[in-house]
Amino acid sequence: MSVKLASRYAAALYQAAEEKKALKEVRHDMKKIGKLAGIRQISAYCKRTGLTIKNSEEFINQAFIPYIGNLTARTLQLLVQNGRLAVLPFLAEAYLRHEEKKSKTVRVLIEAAYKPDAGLRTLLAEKLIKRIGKKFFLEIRIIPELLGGIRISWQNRLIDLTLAERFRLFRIFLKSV
Amino acid sequence: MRDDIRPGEILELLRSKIAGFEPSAGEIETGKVIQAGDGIARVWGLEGIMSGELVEIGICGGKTASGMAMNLEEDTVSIILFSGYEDVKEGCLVRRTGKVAEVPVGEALLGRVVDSLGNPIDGKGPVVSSQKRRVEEKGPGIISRQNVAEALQTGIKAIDAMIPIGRGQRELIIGDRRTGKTAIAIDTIINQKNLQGKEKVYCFYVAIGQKRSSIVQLIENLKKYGVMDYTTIVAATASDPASLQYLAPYAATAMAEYFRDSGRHALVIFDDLTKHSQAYREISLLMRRSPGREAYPGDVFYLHPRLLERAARMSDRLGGGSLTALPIVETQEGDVSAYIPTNIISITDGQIFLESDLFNSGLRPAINAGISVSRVGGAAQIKGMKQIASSLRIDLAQFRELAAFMQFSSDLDPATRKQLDRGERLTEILKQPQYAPVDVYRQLMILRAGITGRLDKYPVGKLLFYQKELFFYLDADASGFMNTLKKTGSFNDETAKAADAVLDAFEEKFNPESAGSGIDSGYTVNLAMAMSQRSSRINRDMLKLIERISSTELASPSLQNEIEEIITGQDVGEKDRFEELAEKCLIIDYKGKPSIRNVFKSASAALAESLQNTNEKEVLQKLLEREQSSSTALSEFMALPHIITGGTSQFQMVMVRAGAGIKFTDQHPSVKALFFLAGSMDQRHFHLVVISALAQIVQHPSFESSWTQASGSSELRKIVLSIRRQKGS
Repeated sequence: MSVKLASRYAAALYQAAEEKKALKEVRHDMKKIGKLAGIRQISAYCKRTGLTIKNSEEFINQAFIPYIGNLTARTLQLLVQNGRLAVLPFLAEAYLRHEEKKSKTVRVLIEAAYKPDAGLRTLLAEKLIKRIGKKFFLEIRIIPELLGGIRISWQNRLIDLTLAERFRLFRIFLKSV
Repeated sequence: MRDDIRPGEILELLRSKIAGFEPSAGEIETGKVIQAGDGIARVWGLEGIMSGELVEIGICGGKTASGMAMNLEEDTVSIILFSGYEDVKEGCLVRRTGKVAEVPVGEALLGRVVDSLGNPIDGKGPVVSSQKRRVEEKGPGIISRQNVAEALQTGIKAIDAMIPIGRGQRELIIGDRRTGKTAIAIDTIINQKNLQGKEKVYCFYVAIGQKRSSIVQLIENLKKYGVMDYTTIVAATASDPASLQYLAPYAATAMAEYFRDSGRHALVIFDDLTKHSQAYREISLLMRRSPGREAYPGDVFYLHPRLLERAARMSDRLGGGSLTALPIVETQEGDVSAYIPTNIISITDGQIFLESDLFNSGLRPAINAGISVSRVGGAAQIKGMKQIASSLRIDLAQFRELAAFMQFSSDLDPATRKQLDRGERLTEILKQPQYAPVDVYRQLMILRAGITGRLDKYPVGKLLFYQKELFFYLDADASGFMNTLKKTGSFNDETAKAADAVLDAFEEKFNPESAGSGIDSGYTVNLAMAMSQRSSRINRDMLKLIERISSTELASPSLQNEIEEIITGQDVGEKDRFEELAEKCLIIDYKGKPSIRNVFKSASAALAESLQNTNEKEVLQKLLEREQSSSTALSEFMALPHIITGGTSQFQMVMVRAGAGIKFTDQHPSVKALFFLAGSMDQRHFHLVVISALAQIVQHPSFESSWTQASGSSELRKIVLSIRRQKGS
């Protein structure tokens, strides 16, 4: 239920941000909220039953409001007034998904053990435009544990070409031999 | 051995295998865990996932946990986790695998112990199998099946004769806890041992929610009887997640289907489906499915039918293989009308109903033949057994009816007496110890002896000895006839005559009086075990021992619990009363002729003096009759003759020291401590308290020496009381 509600609030926030031309700020806020809501204790607190509106207000005023813009803050306050604090942990994810659906550009995350050079990025861009069929912007993250190769993810899709993944599959294969 | 290993060959083998490794680099759909706990994860995303599809969840340290999609909701998917469920946290990445749950199948699984996913848990290395099968598979359709027409012999006389099971049948084994349900299943596995070739039955035992120690014990027993070669154990123990317990029977059925579909015969035992439905209930509640009656979800009616529908006898066109299912269900207080039992009864082809009071009264297997039924097995029975079984059923039904009626009557006409005697004897020969399945042709002979009235001339207590001797005789002196019987499989005029001739010849040689000393060996073994564990305050063997000695007069369905409470001291009410009895009772230091009759006579005189409404002669008669039915010698040193008297509110004890030793049986030639007990029926509980107390006292390490060396009556009394007080404290 919380997931469904989160999608509704996210859609409303997106619409408001679009009207106010504040999409960039709100995305930024959502990343912050996503990080904060990812903390187990915060997430658990939000899902607690029996919280009063006053308690909830104090909580978001201290934990979230000082770090986010007005539009996002008003949305969080609305959540609290409606007694829907449990939706908060899902809001960021719902917003980012909605944004990707609505916008003509897709965020593509490239994870690699080493920073890809310009040649590889151009090659990737050519391949990805064909595969995704939409405009996209690349976000690159360096994860040394991947050992080598790259992992590409967008929306709810993943292509894993890392050495770590090959080793993992190889280990499973050897076990079955 | 080490010299035989050639590194070159191993390298070559690995090289060839690795050459086939082709990692896929396809596009995978992913989701994110938004909630995790109690073995369930809710995942956002995975819009294209299939129900029952396996997923991989990335957890810390680059490891992955596995799970299966169960609930497909509008925005989220509920996943049941098979492993690493403590490490799955919110935000973990979930990947689809595109595969539904599968398990390895094939001969490589025989003799192995695996978990619900087919992973070996017996420490014997990987299961080398190239084939896999889906765990959830639809049962064969109508065209693919044929009627059940071939017997699956359990080796249990009562079942093979009256509730026969056919290959491809689903026969429910139902009863309260500790009534011998698993024992029937295990005996059935053991009985398949000698089958060869196309007749061979491959067995799968599914342990759901059981203790690991119980499973280890079961495996040891199966190994001991040499049946692991054709048996696979699928274990989802009590400490495994509910998801694995839920999956276990489906996985085992998939493994068994491999044999069914290759024209062979398989048997699956689900032990037990009550725990399976509880595991499913747990999963359903955690996934927030609407609870119904007893909090089970609405589709609990689909849970077991879809499993048991996979049991079938396949048509000849499809190889004629079969898959027989023996689901086990545990009831509470014998209530078969509970939710899960009624559900499973309705979808099986019959049920074997086991009862606690039959079990406690010593009738084992404790099958209630009156309400147990096999709906299709009759067609699968061999002809000879059909001929015997119809008479057997009628005789036993008449016996049950008369026995119930005779509770209100005292005078019996000869015909009724005869029917009762016949029934008693047939009931006796249907008794069978565990791990001792009987070949069907031997069953035919002993049952034939029963229904033709040959056993009427022997006392009931000698019949198991008769049976034992008969089986020896059939093996040693009548092997020719047995071969003929196996060929014909029935009693035509010729074989019937030959069978009677064999039984005549046997009875000429058979001497019922040579049947040991009247004390049954199980009783002695129990005693020996109980005595050998003197240090333990209470042990199972001691319980059995007391249960055994008390069963004749004092039986009740809750006898064992009652004794357990008494021994563990939970029942404190009667403690002081025993000490009072021991302080006041008469003690005889017997110096007379060392014979049972004489010592019983002395004790009877002493007992009769303090008991109302009885006399010495009557007490002596009852003591002797009790002794004749089974010996009351508990050890080489001690005996506990005890009787129920008339009247109310009376209980007496007489302690006797027989310095010269009384010969009870050949195994008990010199009993020196005798405790005579006599009490009215309303003192039944105190009777048990006294028996239990005395059994504990005689286990004390110093009892024998103190009893022998005591100077007189008062010292003997002191010994009993001081040990009792030590135990009590």
